[in-house]
Amino acid sequence: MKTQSNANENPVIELVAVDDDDLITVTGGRAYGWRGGGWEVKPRKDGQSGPTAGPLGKLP
Amino acid sequence: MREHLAEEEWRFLRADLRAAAWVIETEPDTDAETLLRKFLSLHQHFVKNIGRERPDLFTDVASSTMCEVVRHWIVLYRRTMAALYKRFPRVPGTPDLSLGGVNWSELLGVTFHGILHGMSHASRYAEYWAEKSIKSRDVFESFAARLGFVATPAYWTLLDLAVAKQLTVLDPLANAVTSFDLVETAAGARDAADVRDRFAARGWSVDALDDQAAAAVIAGNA
Repeated sequence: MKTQSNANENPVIELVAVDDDDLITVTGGRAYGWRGGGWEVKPRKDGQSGPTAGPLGKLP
Repeated sequence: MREHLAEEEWRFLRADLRAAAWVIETEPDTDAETLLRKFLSLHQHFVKNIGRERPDLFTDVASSTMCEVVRHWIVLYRRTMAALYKRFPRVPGTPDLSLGGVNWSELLGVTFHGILHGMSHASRYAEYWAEKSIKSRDVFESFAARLGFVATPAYWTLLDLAVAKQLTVLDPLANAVTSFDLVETAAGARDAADVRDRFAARGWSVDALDDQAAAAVIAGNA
C-alpha cells in the first residue's frame, strides 16, 4: 500500500475502478451513487492493496 | 493508499467531477456561441463516458433556451458545491481524493469523505433542474426556490438519509429525484402512506423510504 502526500501534507487516497466481481459486497452491492446517495468504497476480495481504513471503517 | 469502486460507479463519479471542474472554469456570462459549443462538447463526453446515447435530448430546443438553462445550471451547481465545501472543508491533514490522475480535493476544496458523501448529490441536484427545465417552464421558474433550498437543514438531512440508504426515490428514468422535489411533493402529507401515494402519482418509484425519512420529507419545508 502506498500513501502519497502533497505539499500541504494531505494524505492522498486514489480511487481505483475494478470489476464488481472483485469487490466484497458490503450492503448488497447496488450502485447508489448517482442515484441519490454517496459513493461507497469496498474492499477487494483478493485483498490486493491490503485492507484499508476507508469511509467504512474497515481497519487492518 | 488505494480504495476501490465498482467500474460503473467510478465512471459516474468521474463524470460528476468533470462537470464540476467545467462549471468552475466556465463563467455563466460567457458568450452564447462559445458557451453552447463548450457545453455540447462536455455533454458528448458524458454520454460516451457512461455508455449511453441521448440523441433526442436537445431536439427542438432553441439555442436561446439551451443557453439560458446552461447559465443557470452553472450557478446552481456552483452553489451545491459551495455548500459541500462549507460542510467538508479541505484543511491540512484531511485526506484528499484522487481519481483519474487528478487531485479533486485540491481542486474543489472538499475532503475525500466529503466528495464521496455529497458529490453525486450536488451534481444531481443541479442536473435534475436543468434536464427538466429544457421541457418545462414551470421547472425552469423554480430555479430561485431550488437555489434557496441548498444547504438548508432539510437539504442536508435528506442527503444524509439518502447516503444511509433510508431514502431513495427514482424518476421514470431511474435517476434520483432531488430533495427539493421530494419536499415540495410531500408538503402537507398526512403520513408515510400519503407520501408514497403522492410520489407514485408523479411516476416516481420508491426504492427506500423508512419512517424517519418519511417524517423528514414531510417536515422538509416546515
